[in-house]
Amino acid sequence: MRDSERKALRYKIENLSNLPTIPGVLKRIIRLIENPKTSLSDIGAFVTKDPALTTKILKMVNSPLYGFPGRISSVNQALVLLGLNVTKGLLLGVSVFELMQKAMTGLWEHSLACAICSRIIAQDMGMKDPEEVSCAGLLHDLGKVAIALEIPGIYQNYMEEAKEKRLPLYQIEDEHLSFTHAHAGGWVTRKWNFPKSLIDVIEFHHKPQLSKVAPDHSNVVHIADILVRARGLGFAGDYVVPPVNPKAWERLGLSEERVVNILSRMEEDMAESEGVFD
Amino acid sequence: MHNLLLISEDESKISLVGEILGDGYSLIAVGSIEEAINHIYDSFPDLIMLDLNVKDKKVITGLNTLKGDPIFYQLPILVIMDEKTHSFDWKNMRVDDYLKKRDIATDLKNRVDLCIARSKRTFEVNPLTRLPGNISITREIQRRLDTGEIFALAYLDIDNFKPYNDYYGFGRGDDVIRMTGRLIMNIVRSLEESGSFVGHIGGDDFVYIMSLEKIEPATKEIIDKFGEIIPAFYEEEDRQRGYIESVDRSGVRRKYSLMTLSIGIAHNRYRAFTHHGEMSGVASEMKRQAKKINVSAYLIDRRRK
Amino acid sequence: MPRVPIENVRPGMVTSKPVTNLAGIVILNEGVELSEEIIQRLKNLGVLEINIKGVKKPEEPLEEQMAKLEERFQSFANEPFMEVLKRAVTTHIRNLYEGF
Repeated sequence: MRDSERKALRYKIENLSNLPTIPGVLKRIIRLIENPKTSLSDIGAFVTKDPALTTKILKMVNSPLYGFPGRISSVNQALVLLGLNVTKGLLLGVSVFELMQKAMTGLWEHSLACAICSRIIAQDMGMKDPEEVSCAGLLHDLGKVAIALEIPGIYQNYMEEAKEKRLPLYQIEDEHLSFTHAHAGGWVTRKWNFPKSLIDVIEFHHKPQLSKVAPDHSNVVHIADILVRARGLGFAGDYVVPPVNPKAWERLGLSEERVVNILSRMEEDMAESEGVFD
Repeated sequence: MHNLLLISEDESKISLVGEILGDGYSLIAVGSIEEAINHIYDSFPDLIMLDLNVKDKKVITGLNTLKGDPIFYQLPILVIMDEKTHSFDWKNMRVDDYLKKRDIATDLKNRVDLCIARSKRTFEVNPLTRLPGNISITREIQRRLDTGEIFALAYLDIDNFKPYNDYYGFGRGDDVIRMTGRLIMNIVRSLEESGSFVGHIGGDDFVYIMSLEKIEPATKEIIDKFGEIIPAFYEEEDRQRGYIESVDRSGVRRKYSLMTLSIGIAHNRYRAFTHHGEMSGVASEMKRQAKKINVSAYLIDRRRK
Repeated sequence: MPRVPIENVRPGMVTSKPVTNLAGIVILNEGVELSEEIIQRLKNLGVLEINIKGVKKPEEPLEEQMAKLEERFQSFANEPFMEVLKRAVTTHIRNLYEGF
């Protein structure tokens, strides 16, 4: 890709206004909104399972319109600050892109599994905000959606190449684009005034050693991402388990036994979330 | 440059409007309330034009919901009506003006400009939180007292707000105020959709009115949620320590723990008030007592005289 | 916690969510081990589906899952901790197929 094309692509990614979700989620959301008895916590429980909805809520609460950008990383807090009416209104505006369906379902499942796994690890480590880490886990591959929205055909080719060469998608991205979905995710969330800690994790989930603002969170999501791919849940755009960052593994005190334990708890929690993707 | 949003499915209307307005106006046309909402939240238009022919009846409810939020009180909505339509339920449609299709060519520009100008005239609303200010507050209290209504009045302020403001600057201080305003408003509204009232006196002083039954649950929720959210407004080190170090009015270095709330509540179940000042006085007194408690606290007047 | 149609519910299964009747009233709590009688009673009350604790048996045959596992670990098998990770996942997946 030529340099001018790269620049144009970056510009378009930074100026995205929305992320699409999948039809199953959209159907459910509409039902929730139309039910007059729906409460904020009902909505919250649902939103925290979907990256597009989570992103929309966080983007709104962190927008200059509300006047406290970069502060809120919890969906539940965001909903209290936005209020029921605004929330319902916002979710009504979620759009769907038919082209993306199949790829998206796999990615959404991967993201949800990563969120659950991140929460489990964060809780085990006694971190004081597992909800925030879980949220980062949910959104870590945001950049892939952004890139796929702008260059769907080309991105499809990159995924084919990744499959053939048995390499992680980020390596192929880097070769062709000189940036990866991690960078793209960072640009988008920075534009949307997400809290710095969230941006940091999204930007450095493949290279947690470079994370400065929230290194612990980055380690957790990095590991969670790898565990989910090792287990084969969902589809993150490639067919390999990328190498684990050794420092992250050590800092989290992992062992064969612990990993088995984490995976089984994640499996149970995923089964509970089943049906979100119907 | 005015940013306008037109909700319409009629191509001919859309191009006519675009033509008439010309330069100086940036016009975006959408066909549904969903797309409209996306735009409104993304780019905050100066005016919305709604073609009443739009088939989707959810449009009106959508816009009413939008206007229910103080942030959009002043966003003007101009409806465009066809010749056939004649009478309207204006009470239930939060629109600001209307225009008949046949008058678009002659009157559109003026109507648009007038609506925008009118919306910009400030009427007593706190610029930071867009909540009603002192005049509206006292008027509201007096009105209820005059009609003999039994209600509860809460006065709220933020402990350690001034040191926070001094330490982190006015920008951050404003963010906290905005957040608090939003928090109070949403919680009060969610527990008592109609009949409640939220006002912003100024600085870090807020007021809310609810029924006696709901005021305590609302207050507890406000205190809880504030406690959950406020740490996000501090830097990591200060958050970990649990305090900021700043200089007080006499120039002495002091530690100020994370901001908390002090709330005083007065009500007229057992005592009669004739003047809003009396009731406010009691609420303030309760709040002063609550301030003596180090953590977030509220006190409700239980006296019978 | 998968929803299982009442015809497929077996004694020994444990509810993972409260069971409600058509009017929405809770007739059985979560965490209850179902016996033949309870299941019959639920059928009589018109219950159609029950949420059961425990993960479903995976649809794919175990050998296929294992083969895919091998494949995705191929590229970086020699990197630090990858061997340990692979063993852990293998154990976990085998556990999923156990008891079915």
